[in-house]
Amino acid sequence: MLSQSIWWAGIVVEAVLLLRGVRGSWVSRYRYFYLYVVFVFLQSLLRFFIFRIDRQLYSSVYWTTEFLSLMIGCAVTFEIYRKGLAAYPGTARMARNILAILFVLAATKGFVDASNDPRWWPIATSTDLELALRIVQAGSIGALVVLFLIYKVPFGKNLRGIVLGYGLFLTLSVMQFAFMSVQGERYLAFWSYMQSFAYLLVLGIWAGHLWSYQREPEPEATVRLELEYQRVAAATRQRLRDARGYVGKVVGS
Amino acid sequence: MMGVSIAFVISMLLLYLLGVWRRATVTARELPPGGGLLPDSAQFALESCPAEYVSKIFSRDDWKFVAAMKSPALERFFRAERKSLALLWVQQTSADIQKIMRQHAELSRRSEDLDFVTEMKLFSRYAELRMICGILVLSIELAGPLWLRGLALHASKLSQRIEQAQETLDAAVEEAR
Repeated sequence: MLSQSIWWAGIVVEAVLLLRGVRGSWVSRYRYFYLYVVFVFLQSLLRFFIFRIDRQLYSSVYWTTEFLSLMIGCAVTFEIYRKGLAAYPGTARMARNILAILFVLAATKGFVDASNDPRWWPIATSTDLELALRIVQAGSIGALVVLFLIYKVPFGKNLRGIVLGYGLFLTLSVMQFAFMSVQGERYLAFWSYMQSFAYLLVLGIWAGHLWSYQREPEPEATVRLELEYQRVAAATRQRLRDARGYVGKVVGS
Repeated sequence: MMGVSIAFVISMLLLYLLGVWRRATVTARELPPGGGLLPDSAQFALESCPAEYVSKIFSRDDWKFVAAMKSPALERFFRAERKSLALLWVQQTSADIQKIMRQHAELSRRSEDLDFVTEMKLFSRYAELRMICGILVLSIELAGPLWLRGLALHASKLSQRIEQAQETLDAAVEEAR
């Protein structure tokens, strides 16, 4: 009964979120995010009906839609990167490099696992696969958040809500799949409740932040630093060197 | 099991980062535009407090004078005062180093020709300085500022010896080839 209530509440919040976005016509501004919400909305309905009609089919439908939502989730990450860093090419370049490094690390780990155990792919369960992909996504969002913090990239309310909600969703998903891959089906009911409740919380964050459109803060157009990076870097290097020298001189090393 | 602990650490880390970021974005304000953020000359903020004066905090000269008074209460007071002064100086230095990097980040985030390797080098230099500040705080807390200079000199001599030993080893390897 409780899970049904949470599930229906989720559907309602999703519908409201979509309705607000369509009516305010800011759906096109966060295209992939709204595509994700539409997909999850339809996925919930599909799963519900399949669960009622054919329980044997449910498992394959569940994992197929889960994998598809994961792929659309990657597009949401890309949208966060693209929208958030549109005015900051320097930070965007850093993000590209860091995401590339993360991807190479994840691919290398996957390759090493596969080569260590030739049965790796055949025995990998959907849970393991989803956990691996969610970890990569969580790592990407984490890396982006670190860059937003370091480079002090300002965010509007809408995009901030998308990042917070999606980041929270990924955190809980990674935890859930990590425990599920160890505990198996022992606490399936508990995790099922947890997932539904957590997703409702995430939807709440999204609805709150995307209730109305707010323009992303734009940096001052008067500053043109595109050609000055080497000068900035050289000055910072010199200042850090001075700081090092100063500390050494005081302490006597 | 290993994968689970990594997953758990990643999720906790992401949750923490999101919390920090949320607080930061809510209070963040854009800095005023203009190139005046970074001084043209390489001036370091702490130059207002010359090294020659600050080094007195770590000097044993005053301590020798106080010790000659043979007053345990005065010695205790002197040590406590020096320790708090030294800690305050490290904190200020650390804050100024942070400021340098913050200004750099604010300026470089919009540069189209930002170089990843240069950024990484700057960050490693910054991390090294912050680590030195951390070690200084720890040393001051454990040994006090008056013995710090001795420790620093010892560490410097030790690293020189290691460097010499490394050079000798390299030379020997070269000869053997």
